[in-house]
Amino acid sequence: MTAHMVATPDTAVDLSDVQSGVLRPRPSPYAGTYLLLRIDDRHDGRTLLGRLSESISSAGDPASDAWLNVAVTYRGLVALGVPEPSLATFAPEFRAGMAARAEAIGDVGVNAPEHWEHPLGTSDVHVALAAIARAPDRLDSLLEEAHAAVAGLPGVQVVWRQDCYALPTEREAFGFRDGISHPAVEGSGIPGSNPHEAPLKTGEFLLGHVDETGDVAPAPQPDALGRNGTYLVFRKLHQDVAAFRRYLRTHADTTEEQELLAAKFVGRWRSGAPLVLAPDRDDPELGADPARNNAFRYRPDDDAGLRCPVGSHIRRMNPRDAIVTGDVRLHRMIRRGTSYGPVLPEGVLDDDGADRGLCFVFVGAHLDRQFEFVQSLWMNEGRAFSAPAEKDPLVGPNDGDGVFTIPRRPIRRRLTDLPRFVVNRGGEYCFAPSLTGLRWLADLTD
Amino acid sequence: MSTYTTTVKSGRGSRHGVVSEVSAFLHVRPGEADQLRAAIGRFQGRLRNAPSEYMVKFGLVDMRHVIFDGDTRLCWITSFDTDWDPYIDDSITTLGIDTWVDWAQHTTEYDAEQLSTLAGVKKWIQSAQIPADGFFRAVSNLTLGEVKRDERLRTAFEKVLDEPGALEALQQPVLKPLLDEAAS
Repeated sequence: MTAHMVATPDTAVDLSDVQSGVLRPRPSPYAGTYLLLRIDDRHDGRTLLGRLSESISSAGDPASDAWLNVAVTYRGLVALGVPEPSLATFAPEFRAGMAARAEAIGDVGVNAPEHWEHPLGTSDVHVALAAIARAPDRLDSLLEEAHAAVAGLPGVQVVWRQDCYALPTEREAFGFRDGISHPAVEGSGIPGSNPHEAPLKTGEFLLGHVDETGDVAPAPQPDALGRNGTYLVFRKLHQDVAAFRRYLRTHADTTEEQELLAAKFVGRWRSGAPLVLAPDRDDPELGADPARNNAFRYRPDDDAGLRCPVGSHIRRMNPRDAIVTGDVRLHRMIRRGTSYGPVLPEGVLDDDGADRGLCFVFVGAHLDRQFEFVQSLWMNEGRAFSAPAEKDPLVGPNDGDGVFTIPRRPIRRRLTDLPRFVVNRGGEYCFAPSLTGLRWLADLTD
Repeated sequence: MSTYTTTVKSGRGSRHGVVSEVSAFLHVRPGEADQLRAAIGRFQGRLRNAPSEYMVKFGLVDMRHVIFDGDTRLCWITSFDTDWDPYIDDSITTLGIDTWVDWAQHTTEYDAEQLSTLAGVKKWIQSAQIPADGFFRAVSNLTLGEVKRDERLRTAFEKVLDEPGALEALQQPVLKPLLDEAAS
């Protein structure tokens, strides 16, 4: 791979050392497959990573329409035989694993690990492979490479597979355009989607670099292993599309009112047009325009949330310049979502029993103050938004008595019977090494 | 710069409703009590003059520094309506580490190298923190943001009550709850 250095006055990121999915948005449309593997023999595991290092896509190739990326769980690092002094330098949340963090991040009740899809949350999940391509035939090529890497290694087993694909509508299962918002990362040269947002410090998303606090967060050691790597959170989120449709039908009379209500839940119309810029009706042209569909702030025009409710989904995930509890720049996330499962035909209000939803991936250098903070303090409750009892109306753990306030003149609307529309089927915390780190792992010796 | 060990997590003070507390106990450097008082004055002044949005941003509800025991001990107590880690992370980042160092340097626990990073300041606070055995806060169910919003609502209601047509407007049955509050 050729080096692709992007020099800036403050930091330069060697994009050829960073896995592509860490910094580059996924292609759209897309087809993808996630594979989880278990390492039963450390030598086979190291051989696997060595083979994969030849195929892993880096962020240094912007023209690539297909990429293969890899991440390792803490149990996977142990299975590979990473020395204990190195293991101890990983973040405590990563070492504990997502299942152990369940209470902290609100994975209780139906979201609790005992209900997760096997083997998610177990000690069998060691390596995660993500193959994403613009077209199915390119995906097939990637999967051939992945299977070739595993071939002849009895000490490596594929334990789980999930296929994903862009829906024919190019929207996620609830019917909304997805994958719109992503931040610019200083030193990467890769533009963000909001021109009003200054690039985030490199260290918010890549370990071993200065972050927004002016510090370099504790990174896995040695430097060859940790630098330019990052943490990933993977969650398989089941979406109850029928329930969402029924809720809209029973809480709004006309189709136009139902669409507005849906938009108020999300903060965008289904086309992707943000309510802040299109408060009264959808604007599909705006929604489809990547130069405009994320170019907005909330202040001063929408402080009160009369356009985009303060508690709506996108405003919780990224409050931008709104006054909330939490310094937004310390809690930004890179999110990657891919849809799975069949489309529920238009107009169907009864669930067909099919598993459908979103494979959610978070990318960031701080599991605690990025993913876990947003999950627990911005999504699962509302203290930060002066509404302690309210949760994210779309993805929050509402159980039939969820509250959502929609600011509106002359009198606000308050829903008090929100059900749960999204259930976590399981996931894991992973470490995505740089390509240098990947080779370090592959080159481990006993 | 960074340490090669992971940050020790969360002091976890006591909580009542939506409000949590941190109580930390330190020792004043001999002979530096007056300098410490001056630094505390600057710190408190910084908070009092900060935009109100800062307080909402990091969830600060109250804060006090108490020098006691013959100018030998310092007690730092604060409460906030968010969680411990984000409170410390966000407040230190917003106000700047120098704001903490200015008073912390007058304690015997001060370590210049440790207090040069956010992670170090957190560890330093954790080392001096003792969770309260009892913590009570009146209106523990309200965040600062809600208090401010309620203040705006009260101001607006008072303005309505001062209008000549207020009584007639409040005669609507649906407004009875407001009319019931109008007398005081």
